[in-house]
Amino acid sequence: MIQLTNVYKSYQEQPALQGVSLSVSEGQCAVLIGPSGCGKSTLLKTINRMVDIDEGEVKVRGKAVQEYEPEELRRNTGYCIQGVGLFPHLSVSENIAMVPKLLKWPEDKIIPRVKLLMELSGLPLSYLDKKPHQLSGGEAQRVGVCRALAADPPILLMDEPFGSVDPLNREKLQQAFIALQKELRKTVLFVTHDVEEALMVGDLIFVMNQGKVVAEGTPGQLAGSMESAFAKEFLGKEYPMKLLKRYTARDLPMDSLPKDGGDITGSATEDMPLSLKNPPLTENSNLQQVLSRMLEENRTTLPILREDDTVRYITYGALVAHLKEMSQ
Amino acid sequence: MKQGNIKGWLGLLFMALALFLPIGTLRPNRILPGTTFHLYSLLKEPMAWAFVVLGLILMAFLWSLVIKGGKYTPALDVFPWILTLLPASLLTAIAKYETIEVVYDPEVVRISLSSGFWLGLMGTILILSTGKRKGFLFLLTFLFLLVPPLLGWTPHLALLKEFLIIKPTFFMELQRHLVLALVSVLLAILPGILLGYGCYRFQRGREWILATVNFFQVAPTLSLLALVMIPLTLLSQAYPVLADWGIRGIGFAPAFIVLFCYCLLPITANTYAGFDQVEQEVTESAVAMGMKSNQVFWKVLFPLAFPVILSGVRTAVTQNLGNTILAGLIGGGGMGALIFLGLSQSASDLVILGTLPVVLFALIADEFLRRIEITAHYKMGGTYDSAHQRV
Repeated sequence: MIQLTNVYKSYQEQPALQGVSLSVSEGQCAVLIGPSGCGKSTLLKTINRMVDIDEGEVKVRGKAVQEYEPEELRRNTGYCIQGVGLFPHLSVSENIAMVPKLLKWPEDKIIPRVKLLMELSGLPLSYLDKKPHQLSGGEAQRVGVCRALAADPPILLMDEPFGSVDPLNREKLQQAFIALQKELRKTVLFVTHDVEEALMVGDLIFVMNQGKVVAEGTPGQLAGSMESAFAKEFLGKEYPMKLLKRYTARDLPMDSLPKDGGDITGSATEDMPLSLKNPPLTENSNLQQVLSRMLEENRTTLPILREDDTVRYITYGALVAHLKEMSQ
Repeated sequence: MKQGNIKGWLGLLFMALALFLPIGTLRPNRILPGTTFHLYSLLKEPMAWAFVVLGLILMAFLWSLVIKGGKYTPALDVFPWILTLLPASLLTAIAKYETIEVVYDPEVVRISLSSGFWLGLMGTILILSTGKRKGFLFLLTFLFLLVPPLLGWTPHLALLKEFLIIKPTFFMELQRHLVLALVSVLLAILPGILLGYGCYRFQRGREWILATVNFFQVAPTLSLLALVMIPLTLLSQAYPVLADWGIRGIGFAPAFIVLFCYCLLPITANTYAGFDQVEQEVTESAVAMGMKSNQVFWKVLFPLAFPVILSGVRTAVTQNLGNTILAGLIGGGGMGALIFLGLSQSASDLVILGTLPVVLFALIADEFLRRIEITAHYKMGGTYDSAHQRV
């Protein structure tokens, strides 16, 4: 869907991209991560020709971007930035409807589309006529995402879209985005400098430094072998801990989990009945929560309440095995 | 102290001064200096001091209504309406000063308004400005002021006598004044906006453009007039056709050119500021959404800059209404013609007569355009206050 081959770009002798190659296939959410000034935003902008490259090739849907009219390319590429950049003089609905209007959609097609997107992103319909200055930061970001998706573009470019929101709201927005992406299956290129965010939303992660991609792979793969010392340092020693948050108890293969904890030998406190201290975790709990609970309750086996009210036990061993499998 | 309180206090101070300062001047004819009289001398002797005491009590009462805590009390809902009548009744009282018909010839005797009256008027306006609907109340105050002269209650009022003398030219000059002031602004709007947009788009040109329009602004108006007169004179001598069209060293043309140049700075600078304050994320996302450059301009940049541009036009209009007075110096006409005539004849009433309409029109234009501006600010997704804090 998106393919970059040996792309170079510099601004007045200042190199921004130095031979970047990457490819993202349809329906994938690829995350570009790296420190400030590593060229990740520039790379994003080469895809909708907000930035024209010096050398190399950028292909979108099998066609070099230079062959598209810039306006046509941009109208078919959703774009969403940190400052949101909503039009302050237009209402929420007019903001969202902008690209469909540019594409001359009929009016009776635009309104349902706007409403659908607002529902998908969790905005109440009473917000249709609000002006951007009446929205909170998080709400404005949601409108920004809706606006980027308005004309149903196959490709979505997001430049630190949740960067200016407080951590609590950011996590909500990430969850909303993940749910949306599950539904819509867009090809997404997502720029961030936040490792946890990258792990939450990305199917594929590209670590960038000084205009180059230094490491790439699925979030799990990056936990395994990594050649680049920079990528190792940037992702941090706690990377596996953060990675745990990506998976839920449901992701663990069922047959690896015993039906009762009695068979498992562990420390003395483990013969405690099913979670006296805390309510049991459910299948939707992420593995970071599972590990935390293990540490908190000082046990290596933990009961998980499933939706059909049966109980399975997660062992520390199963958790490690899952991480190992994911990193292959 | 709140701003409203300061205004209220100052207003009361002015009103108190009006009680003690000469409120009018009785002059046997147009040229003689005449004798001043006070508000309390309008009353019979025994009542004079009682009047002053009463006035002070009234002040105290007003103070308790207007100033206390800076709060707008329900009593004030009625009070301003009464206050708007005050200057008009003062005017009537002054013009009714009794002794005149006994001592002087009623045909030529005249009563000029003195500092006391003007201070009283200013005090009224300041107090009104602390409350609601001030624009409307100001207008009402001035309209009421016109009533006594129109009804013939003030036959000896000097302003009225001056007006009656120059009545035919008064309206002609007023019309010329307004045409000169407003048409030069209207014609400066488009070039001003284009120059401002040039400043925004071309960094290199910005300094040059702003320096030029700044020069027009800081150069004294008079010297600018002189500067324009020379080439225009030479031109009209070289091409007599131009002179036939009215383009000469003196008169309408040089005044018009100078006023036009004067309007450029506020409009250009505000246009530039207006475009510049549009956040970069907004223009960037407009481009990224696939808008063509003319769409970015008309759908995003211009609407968002519009309130600030309008504010520049407002500045230009108000300053131009005042500046047009100078056109009178070079035969361009306008209220300046009356004012300078009055100055040369030491007829202060004629000067005031020429000034009052200018002030009035400037205030009305300012208030009118400000309202449009506030509406525009609101429509463009901001509030008037927040926009002005930014600038």
